Amino acid sequence: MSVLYRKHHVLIIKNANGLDHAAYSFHQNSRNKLLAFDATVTDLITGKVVKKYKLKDLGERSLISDISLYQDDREKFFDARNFPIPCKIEIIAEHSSLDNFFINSWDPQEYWNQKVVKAEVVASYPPSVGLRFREMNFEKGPAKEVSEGSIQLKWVFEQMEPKAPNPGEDYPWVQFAPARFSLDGISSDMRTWEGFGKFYAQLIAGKDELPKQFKAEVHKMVEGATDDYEKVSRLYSYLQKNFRYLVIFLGIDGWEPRKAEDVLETKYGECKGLSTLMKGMLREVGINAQYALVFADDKKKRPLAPDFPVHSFNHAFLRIPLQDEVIWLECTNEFLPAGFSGDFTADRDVFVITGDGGFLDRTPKYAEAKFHQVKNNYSLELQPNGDANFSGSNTYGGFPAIPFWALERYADENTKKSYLNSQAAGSGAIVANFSMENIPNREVPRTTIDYSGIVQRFAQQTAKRVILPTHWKKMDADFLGEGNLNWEESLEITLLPNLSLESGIGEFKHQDNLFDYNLSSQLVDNKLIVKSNLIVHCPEPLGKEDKALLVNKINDQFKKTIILKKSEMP
Amino acid sequence: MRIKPFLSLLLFSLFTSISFAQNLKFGKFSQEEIDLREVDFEPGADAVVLAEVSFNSFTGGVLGSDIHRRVKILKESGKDNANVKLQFYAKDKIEDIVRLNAHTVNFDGSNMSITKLEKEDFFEADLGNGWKEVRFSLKNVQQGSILEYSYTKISKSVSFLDPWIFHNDIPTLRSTYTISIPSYFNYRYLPQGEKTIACNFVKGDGLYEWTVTDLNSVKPEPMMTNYADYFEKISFQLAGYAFINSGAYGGESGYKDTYGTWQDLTKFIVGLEKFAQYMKPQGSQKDYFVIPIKQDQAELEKAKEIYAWVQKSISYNERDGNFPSQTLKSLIETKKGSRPDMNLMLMAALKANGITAYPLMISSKGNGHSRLVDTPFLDQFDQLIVFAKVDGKDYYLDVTNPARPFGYLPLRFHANHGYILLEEGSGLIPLQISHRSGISQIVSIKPNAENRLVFETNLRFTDYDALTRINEEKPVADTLKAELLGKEAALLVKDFTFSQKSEPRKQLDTKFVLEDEAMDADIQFIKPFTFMRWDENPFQSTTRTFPVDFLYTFSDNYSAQIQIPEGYELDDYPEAVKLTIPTGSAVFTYDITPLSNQVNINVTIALKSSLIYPDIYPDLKYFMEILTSKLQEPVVLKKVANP
Repeated sequence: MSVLYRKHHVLIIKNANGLDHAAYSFHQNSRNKLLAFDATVTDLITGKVVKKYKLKDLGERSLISDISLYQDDREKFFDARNFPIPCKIEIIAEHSSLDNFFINSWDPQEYWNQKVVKAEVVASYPPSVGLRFREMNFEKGPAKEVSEGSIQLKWVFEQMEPKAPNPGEDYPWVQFAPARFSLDGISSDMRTWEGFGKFYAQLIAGKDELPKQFKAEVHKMVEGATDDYEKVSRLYSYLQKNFRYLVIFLGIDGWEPRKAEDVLETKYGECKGLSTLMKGMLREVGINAQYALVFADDKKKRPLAPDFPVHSFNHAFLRIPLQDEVIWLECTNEFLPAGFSGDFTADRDVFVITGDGGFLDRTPKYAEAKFHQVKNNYSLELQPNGDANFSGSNTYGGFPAIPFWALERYADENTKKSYLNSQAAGSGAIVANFSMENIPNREVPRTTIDYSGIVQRFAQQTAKRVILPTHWKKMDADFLGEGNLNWEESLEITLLPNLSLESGIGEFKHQDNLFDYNLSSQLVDNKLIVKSNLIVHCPEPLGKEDKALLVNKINDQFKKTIILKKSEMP
Repeated sequence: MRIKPFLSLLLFSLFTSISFAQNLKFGKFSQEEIDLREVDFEPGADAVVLAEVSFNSFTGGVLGSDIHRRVKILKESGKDNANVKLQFYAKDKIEDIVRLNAHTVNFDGSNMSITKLEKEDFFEADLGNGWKEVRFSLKNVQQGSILEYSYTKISKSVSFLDPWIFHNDIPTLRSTYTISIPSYFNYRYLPQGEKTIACNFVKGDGLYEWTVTDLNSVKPEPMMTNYADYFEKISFQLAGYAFINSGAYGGESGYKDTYGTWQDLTKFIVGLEKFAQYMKPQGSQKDYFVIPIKQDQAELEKAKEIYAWVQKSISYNERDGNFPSQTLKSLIETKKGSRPDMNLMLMAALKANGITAYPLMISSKGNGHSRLVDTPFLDQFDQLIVFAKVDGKDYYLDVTNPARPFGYLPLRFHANHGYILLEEGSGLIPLQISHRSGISQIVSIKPNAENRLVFETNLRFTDYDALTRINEEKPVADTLKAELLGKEAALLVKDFTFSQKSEPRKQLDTKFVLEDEAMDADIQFIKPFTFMRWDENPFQSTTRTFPVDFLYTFSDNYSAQIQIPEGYELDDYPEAVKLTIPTGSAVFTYDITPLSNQVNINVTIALKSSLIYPDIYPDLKYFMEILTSKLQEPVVLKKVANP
C-alpha cells in the first residue's frame, strides 16, 4: 500500500529572511524516495529566470537525530540561499512511500510571517484501503468526490494573513491516518487501538526471548525476593548498572525493537531494545510486563484520541501490572528506582500492547505528597562578622530527590559539593564535609544529606544590630515541579552572648489560593529556633511564567527577618 | 656490589618509564593501567585517557596521522566515553580515515576478555559541506573496562595541519604528539599552554615530539566563555617547501617560502577570488557604494552614516569566520551575508567614500588562542572585523547587529591584538578598545503626603552595560522594565520611563518610582538601593579551574539620599566598608554620611580587569558575598518618642 505525494509550491520572497520558506528537505530512507524535483528561481526585478534546479542538484547529507549515534537515513535538501531579492521560487516535487503506515499531515500555512494566497491539498485513495483524517484547530470538512475505485478529499484555504511568531498559538492542520495498512508483510487495521495493537504485537513477538544461560542468571538475580516488586527492582537495577542507552538506527530500527539477545551482547540499546530485554527478563521470573508506547518529553504532552488511532509516539517503556498496583518502568533511566519515571512520561496517554491487541491507558500524575517533599534542618553558630558555622540535614522525597540521584550516579565529589552549596544549603555556603544517601521507598526516590561547613555572611549587620533570615534556603522553581510541594525547614541558630532580641519573633500564617505557609520562631536561652512549613497545592500544572511568579511570592514570605540588638561583648 | 642492584633498578624504572611513554601497543597493558581505579589529581573522575598517541609522517605531500587512544572506564557513569565520533573533510578526498580498530577489554582477575568491533560496526555519517564523521560505539563496556581504538587519518591538506589538543573532557594521564618532518618541508609550530611550551620536543633527524601528562578534564564553569583558550595544544603551519619541476626546461628546483611574512600572507588572502572583489570593487559594484550621504561633513559622521547604511541594506545570516562566503557581487544581489561578507562590504563602502579602512582578523574568546604569536600563522584567527581610521582615531567595527552602534564590538571580540591586512606593513597590532561601561544609580528616598516612603530612582547604563541590556532596536517599556528589575518587582514600579542614545556614547537612562508601605512602625528599616548588578553571589562553587571572565571592565556608582521623615530619627545604619581582592582588580567601597535630617550613602564597585585568575577565586567569591550582602543592609529609623 504505497503512497505517492506531489507538491507544487509557488513562493514570492520579499526579503532575505523569507528565503527560509523556500527551503526544502526530504527524509530519504529505504521506504521513502524522492522521485522528482524541479525548482525555478525568477528575479522579480528583471523578470528573468536566474536559476533552475533538478533532483541531481539537491544537497545530500546524513540525517541523524540528536539522540542517535547513527542512523542510515539521508536528507536531500534544497538550500534556498544567495538568490536575488525579491524573487519567485516555484518548486515541484514528487516522492513515494512504500507503505501507508505514516501519512504526512498537511499545514496550509507553514511559516510565521507568511501570507498564503491559496493552499490546497487533495487526498485520493482507494475505498478498499481507506483513509482517515482529523481537522485540527478548524472545522470545515473536505469537499468529497467519489469515482470508480477512488475517493478524493480536498481542502482549500485562501487569503490567510501572515502571523507574527507565537509558538503557543494553535494553527490549522490536517492529520491523516490509514484505515487498513501493511508494513513489512504485516497487515492490520488502524481504525481501532486494538487493531493497531495487533500489528505491534506481531512486530515484537519473540523479540524478548533470552539465551538459555542468561535465563539461569536472571533466576539467580531474584533468588530470595519476597514479592514481585522486589523482583522487578532487582532486575531493573541490573539493567541500569550494566546497560547503557545508545541509539543506532539501521533500516527499520526506528520503530522495530532489536532482539533482547542483541542488546545483551552489546550491553547497549535504545528505549525499545532495553524495554524488550527487560520484558524478557521479567517474563522469565513470571511477571508479565507490557510493551507501551508514548509521546515522551520533559515539557510537551500529546493526547491520544480514543476515536482516532494514529502513530504518534517517540518512546517505548513498560507497563507492569503487579498484584495490587500497576507500575511503569523507564528502561533508559540509569539511576531512578523501579516504578518512578519522573516527568518524562508522567501524566500521559499511553498505548499499551497486549499479546493480541492494545488499549489506551494513562501514566500516574505523581501528585501525592510523598512525591514532593523537602525537609531542611540547619544548625548554625553565628560568628561576630556575620559568618556562621553550620551543619545540616536535608531529606528529599520524589521529584525533589531526582537531582541527587543523578548526582550520585554522574558527579564527582567537587561537583557534588558545588551542587550542595547552591541547591541544598542557602546563600554563602561552603560545604566542607557531607554524606549523601539515596534510599528508595518502593517507587519513591528519597535522599538524605548530612553536611557541614561555613556560611559567608549568614547575618547582615548594622552598627547596632544583627539581622537574621527566617529561611536560609530560597525557593527554587525546580522544587515546584508541576505545582505541588511539601516543604519544612528548621533553623537552630546559636547566638553570640552580646546579642539580644529586638523584633521578628512569633507566629505567622499566610494562605493563598496556591499555597499555605506557617512560620514560628522563639528564643530559648541563646538559641533562636525558627520553624516553617509550606504546602504548595496548584490544581493544574503551572506554566513557566506563572511558576516564576509563584516562586517570587513564596520567596517574599521567606524574606522575613529577625532583628537582634548588639551590646558590648562581655 | 651494593650499589649495582640500585643502579639496575633505577635503569629498569627509567626504561619502563620511557617504554610507557613511547610505545603503545594495542591490547598490551601495564599492570598499573589494569589496577588503576582513581585518578589521583582528579578523584571522582568517571573515566580517564590512560594514553593517547598521534604519530604523524609524510609520504610525499600527504600526511598520515596514526592515532591511538586508550581510555579506562572508572565509574558506570563514564560508559558514554565508548561512543566515538571522528570528523574529517572528505571533499575531493582531501582527508580520509582508514585502518580503524577498536576493542573493549574487560578484566576478571587475571583473565582478560576482548570484545572487538567488526567492520560493520563502524558507520560513516555525511555531515554536509564536505564534512564526514566516522562513528562507532564500543561493546560490552563495564566499569573497569579499557577501551582502545586506533585509526589513520590521511590528509592532503598540508598547509595547516590539524592542531592536536592534549586536553580531553576527561582527565588525561599522557598525550603524545609526534611528527616526522621531511627535509623538503619546513613548518612553523605554535604551542599553547605551559606544559606544551615546556616540552623538550626536538628529537633529531626531523623528528619532533611533545608529551604532556596529568591534565585535568575540561568542564564548563560559570562566567567562562573562553576555556578553549587554555587548552594545552600544538598547531602547525607550512613555512616553506623544496620543489623540483622536471617539466621545466632543463629541470627546475629550489625552495619556496609560504607566507614567510605577514605581508606574504596578506597577499595570498586578498588575492583569493571572493576576497579580491571587496578589496577592489569593479564596474557596477563601485556604483553600489555611491551612498546618499552628505560628503561635506566630518569624517566620523560620514563613517557612521555608511555604517548605518550597511546595517540597513544587508541582513546577517548568523554565519561567522574570517573569510567571505560569497563575492561582493553576490552579496549585493542577495542582501544577506556572513559576518566577513558584511564587514568587508562595510570596509569597501568606507573606502569608496574616502575613509581609511582595512580588514582586521582577530581571535575571539573561545577560539582557542589566548595569546597570538607574531608569526604569520593564519590558524590563530577566527573572525574578521574592520579597522577604520576616522578623524585620526582608530575604530574597530562589526556591522552585523542592527542594534549595535558604530564603534562597539561583540564582547567576545574584545581581543588584545589583531592581524591587520594592509597594502604594506601588515601584521599584528594592539587593539585599544576604550569604553566607560558602568551603572550609575541615584535614589532619592522621601516621605509623601500619605506618610509612605517614596523611592525615586534614576538608573543610567553606559556603553557595554547599556548594550547588554538592550537586545532590540526599539525596546518595549514593559519588557525592559521586567528584564531590568525582574517580573515581580516590575509590577510594583510606577512611572517607569526610559530613553536611550548612541551619541556620544551608548547610554540607557531609566527612571521609576517605588512606594513603600505606610510608615507606622516604631522601628523602620530602609534598604536604600532598588537595583543591584548582582542580587546574589554568582559564584557557588568553592573551586575554580579556569579564569572567571566578566567580559568587560566597569565602574558603578550608587548613591542614595534618605530624607528622614518627621517624627523619626536615625537610629542605626550599615558600617562603612572598603574592600578589594588581592590583585586589586575588584574594589568595593560603601560610605555613609549621617546628616541632621538626611542620610547619604555612596557605593562604588569597580572591576579593573575583566579576567580574574583561579588562584584568587576564593577571595573573589568572598568579595561577592560581602558585596551582595552589604547592599541589602538597611538604614534604621526610630520613631521619636515625643516629636
